[in-house]
Amino acid sequence: MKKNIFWFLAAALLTTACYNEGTLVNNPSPLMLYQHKPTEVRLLALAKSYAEAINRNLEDKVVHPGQYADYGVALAKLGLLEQANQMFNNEKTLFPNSSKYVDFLKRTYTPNFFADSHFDTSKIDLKTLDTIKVEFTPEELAAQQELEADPEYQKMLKQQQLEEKEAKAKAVKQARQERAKAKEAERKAQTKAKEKEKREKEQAKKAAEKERAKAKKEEQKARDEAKKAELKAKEEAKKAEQKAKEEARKAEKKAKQEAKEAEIAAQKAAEKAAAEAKKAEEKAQKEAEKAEKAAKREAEKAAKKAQKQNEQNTKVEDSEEEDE
Amino acid sequence: MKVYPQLRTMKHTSIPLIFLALLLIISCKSEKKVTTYEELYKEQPFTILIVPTQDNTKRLQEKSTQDRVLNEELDMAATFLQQSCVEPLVSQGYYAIPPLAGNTILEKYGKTYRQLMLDNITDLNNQYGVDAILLVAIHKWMEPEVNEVVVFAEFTLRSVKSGLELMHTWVRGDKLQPVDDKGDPIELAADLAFIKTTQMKPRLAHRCLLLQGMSDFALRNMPTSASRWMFKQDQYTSANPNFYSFLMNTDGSIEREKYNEDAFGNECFTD
Repeated sequence: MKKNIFWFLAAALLTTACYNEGTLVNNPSPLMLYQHKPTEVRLLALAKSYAEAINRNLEDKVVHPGQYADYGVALAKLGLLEQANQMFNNEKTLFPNSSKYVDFLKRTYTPNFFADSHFDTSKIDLKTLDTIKVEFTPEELAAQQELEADPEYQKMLKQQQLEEKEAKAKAVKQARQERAKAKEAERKAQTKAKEKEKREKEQAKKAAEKERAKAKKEEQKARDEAKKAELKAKEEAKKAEQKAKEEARKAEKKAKQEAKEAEIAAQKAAEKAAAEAKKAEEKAQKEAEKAEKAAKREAEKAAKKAQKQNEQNTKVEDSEEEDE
Repeated sequence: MKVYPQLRTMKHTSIPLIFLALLLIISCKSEKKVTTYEELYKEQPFTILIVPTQDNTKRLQEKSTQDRVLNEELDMAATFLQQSCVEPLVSQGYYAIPPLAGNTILEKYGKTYRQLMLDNITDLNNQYGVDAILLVAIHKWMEPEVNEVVVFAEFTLRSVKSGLELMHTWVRGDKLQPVDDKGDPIELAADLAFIKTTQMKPRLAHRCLLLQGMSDFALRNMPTSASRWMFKQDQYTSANPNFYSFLMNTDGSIEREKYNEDAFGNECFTD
């Protein structure tokens, strides 16, 4: 339920804050006193209170409903009819819904100015009110005298004064105590803050140390890792070297083998070439032999032919000789 | 103890949820303004006339000056109640006719508090543009302890046009003052400021502060005037019960609780 009330109050405060129309009077006392016992002295105090409240509201740029109307009534009762009428007009202008009752007020208090609708919502000059001189009424004075003559009243007054004095002293004491309390609280707060600061510093230090240790650890770890990586790289390089060597060896071996194979192949080719050359030689020889044989044959043939020719020639010669 | 992360998360999320649920229950339990102030929503009054306080408190026979002073104190507190109703009404967006002007109207109108409560008062609207009248009454003052003052008050808002009661609240106000080691009451800073501004005697100031708090609490709960944009949203906020107690604690905090009607009657109307 308390929570509910808290929210309600907060909402109420918020509403008030959002819709601030100022206040009707700065101090509720003059209105209360005047309504309790209307006297001129109290009326003047009330009019001043209204004027001050209006001026303050004007400074805050707010208008309180009814403020001009009530101030107008107070002015009219003080005999300032023209100003009162102006205040009534102000109310009517600012709050048109008030026109019916303000007209009634105008008819009641300022009938001679009823037709005058002049209004002025500028700041009120409080000096106008200061010029008004009011006196205590005979009844007020009599009542005052009666009161003053009353020993019981005097006693009560004294008691009240004493009480007020005591209350003031108490208030002062209370204020002093509160100040001391506040100081103490401040001191405590300061100590607390210092302790907190110290704690925080220590915590920060610890954290920094922790951080440093962590960083160190991490650095070490990184170093180890770097070492490991280096070792690994070395190993890998070694392996790669070995592999390269092996590969080179293999390549060499392969090259050698290939060379050998090439040699063999060359040898074979040479052999083959030799064989082929031999064959060609043989062939050439055969062909030469053949050609020789053919030449021989041709020669033989030619010889035979020549012989035949010779023989023929001889025969012809013989024949010719014979013929001859 | 090992706390499982799931459990911790549940704890964090469930607390606001429970709180919200409780708030919902509380707000559902209390009546909404739209139902409590049904007639007021229908009529939508704007200009309100505050009738001077009807003081039903018993007065002391003035055998001594002290008695007279006490009676005067009660009279002044009653007059104060009328003016303390202006600000809450204005803050809710109503046009409250100020005390001097209002009293002039009522003097001319010439009806008593009882007549204003029961008679046909439509003239007030025709002649003066009043939509509703606020009737406030103080029924009883009590001072059970040296640092405590109790008052029983009644707030009634009556429509001028239809004569219907638009709001009727009974409040038991109670103001406590802190005491020192000797048991003497001491003033709170806020109370002291009020005393300083008003120049009132402390006892009267406490009565006035209590009345101011009560009227503020009772009237600020009235629906926002139709002239305001929050008028519609405000219908669904919770309304005050018809009978409730209003307590101003020694630390200045305020508590409000629904009050039993019979208990209120017994306490208020019996000696």
